[in-house]
Amino acid sequence: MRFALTEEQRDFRDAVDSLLRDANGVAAARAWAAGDTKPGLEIWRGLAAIGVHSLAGEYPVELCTAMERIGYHAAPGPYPESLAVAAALPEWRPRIAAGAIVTAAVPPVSPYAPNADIAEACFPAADSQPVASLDPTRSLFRIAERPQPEPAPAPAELILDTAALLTAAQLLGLGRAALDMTVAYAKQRVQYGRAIGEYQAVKHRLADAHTGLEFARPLVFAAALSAEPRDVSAAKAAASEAAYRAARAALQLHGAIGYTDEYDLSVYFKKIRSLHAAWGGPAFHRDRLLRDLGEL
Amino acid sequence: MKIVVCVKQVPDTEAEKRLLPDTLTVDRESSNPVLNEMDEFAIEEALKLTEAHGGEVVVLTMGPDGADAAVRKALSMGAHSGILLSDPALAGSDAVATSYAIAQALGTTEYDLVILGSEASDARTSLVPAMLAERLGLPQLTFASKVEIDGTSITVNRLTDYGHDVVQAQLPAVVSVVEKINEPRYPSFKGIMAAKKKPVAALDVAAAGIDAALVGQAAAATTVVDAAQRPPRSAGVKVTDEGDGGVKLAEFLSAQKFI
Repeated sequence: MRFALTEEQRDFRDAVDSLLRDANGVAAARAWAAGDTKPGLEIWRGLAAIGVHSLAGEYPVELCTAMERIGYHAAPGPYPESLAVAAALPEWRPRIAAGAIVTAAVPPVSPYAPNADIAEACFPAADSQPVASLDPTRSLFRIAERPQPEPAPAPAELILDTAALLTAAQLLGLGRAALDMTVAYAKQRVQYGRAIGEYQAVKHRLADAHTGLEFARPLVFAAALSAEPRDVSAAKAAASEAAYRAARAALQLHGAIGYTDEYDLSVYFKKIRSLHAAWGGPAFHRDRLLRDLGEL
Repeated sequence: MKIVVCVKQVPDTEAEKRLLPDTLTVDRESSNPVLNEMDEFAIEEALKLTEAHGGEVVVLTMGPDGADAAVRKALSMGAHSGILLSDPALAGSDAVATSYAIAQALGTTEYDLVILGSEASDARTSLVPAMLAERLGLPQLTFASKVEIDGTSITVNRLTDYGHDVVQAQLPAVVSVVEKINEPRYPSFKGIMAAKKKPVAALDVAAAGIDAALVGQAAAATTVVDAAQRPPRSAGVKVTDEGDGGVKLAEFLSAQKFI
């Protein structure tokens, strides 16, 4: 069995990456946070045009490679949610493939539907007023208490597992970007006459972040191939922790500049911390995995 | 309408490029090979023209064995078929030999229009399009920032230092495009999957009818005698304003052709 991506999968990943690089995902995330969703929606439409949104339900590996790049460039928008609905509800696939934005929540694991204000549909229906959100590009909407007439009953488990898997892939990319920024900074920033990256303690933090992300990646792609809930749980728990570890290392190694909102690490840190908990945090998924293995 | 787009595989544009110390040719191992960025604009323009006027796009490249990746990228953007001209005898060809080899390879197919990028990011000579037109005995419309086709006549805006000239010719013709002309599309998932099944014809010097004595490094009209690392950036020019700072600034910018 070959574990590496095929030439076509790499080509597609590169196409997604070029689009996001040219469109500047971080700038779109900043604009989105400030209330201007236009650049972010343009990226959304561009990715739909090259076929990212048509992969749901049929090409999970390709979709995970795309989600990793979406994470890497911090592109805003409810990608895991829309694509999870497409995977779970085949009748929605053509519209989502064409660029429709939908969102979802599966209480009690993931009780808030992100970006419900810009979504054409929300599964199930959500309140119209957002609650406080750590990631300003990911506004959160509580599911309506009194069940509203819903678009259609949605298979909650499949939505949960798909959204958790895609969020795990997104976290891999986000964590990698935070680490890349930090490695570049550690080579540049001089203290006591040497680049801080030359100090062993700094190297260790970077190496730990790197191995965490690299060890999480096979779990994500194994879950994409098997679609087993227990594999998804292993992937989401590992990716959440690896990305968060990378983000914390990034924050500390950057020193004071890492704490400023103007520096792009802030965009990544907030996104990683909020996705760490979204669609089930590590505790939920570890618990589910252990139950499945018969250990609990 | 049949359009041939000539593309080149080059070392990654953003990577630092090196010359091999013994042959003084580009060290292709030191960076990833990519499709020359400017050629993407040529492919995009060809695709737009065939979308508007019907027809097909053939992508042609000359390069080492791995150059089929450049062809594949063009096919995944939407080109219909490819021609890969590859032969050890072609290694080290200069612009004169390259234009000859491409002209011969073009002889194996029919076409109404040949489109090229206006330069490759590695050699940056911008010579091949003009030489190719001369070899083929066709009108050359280089540095095009806009292309229009009406029947058998082609009109381009040719970019100049002072704006643009409007140049007109009859098809078949050779066009080179600048990056202002369009916004190249990204390969789509469908396009990438479809590219696998598109035909790519392989040509060697014999099949293309190329005289091997006229190509390759030995036949090159120019020789690289020596190469050195570019010196680190110097401090630049400091203008001290003694009442004439504005004039000196304007003179500098004018000398650099900024104004």
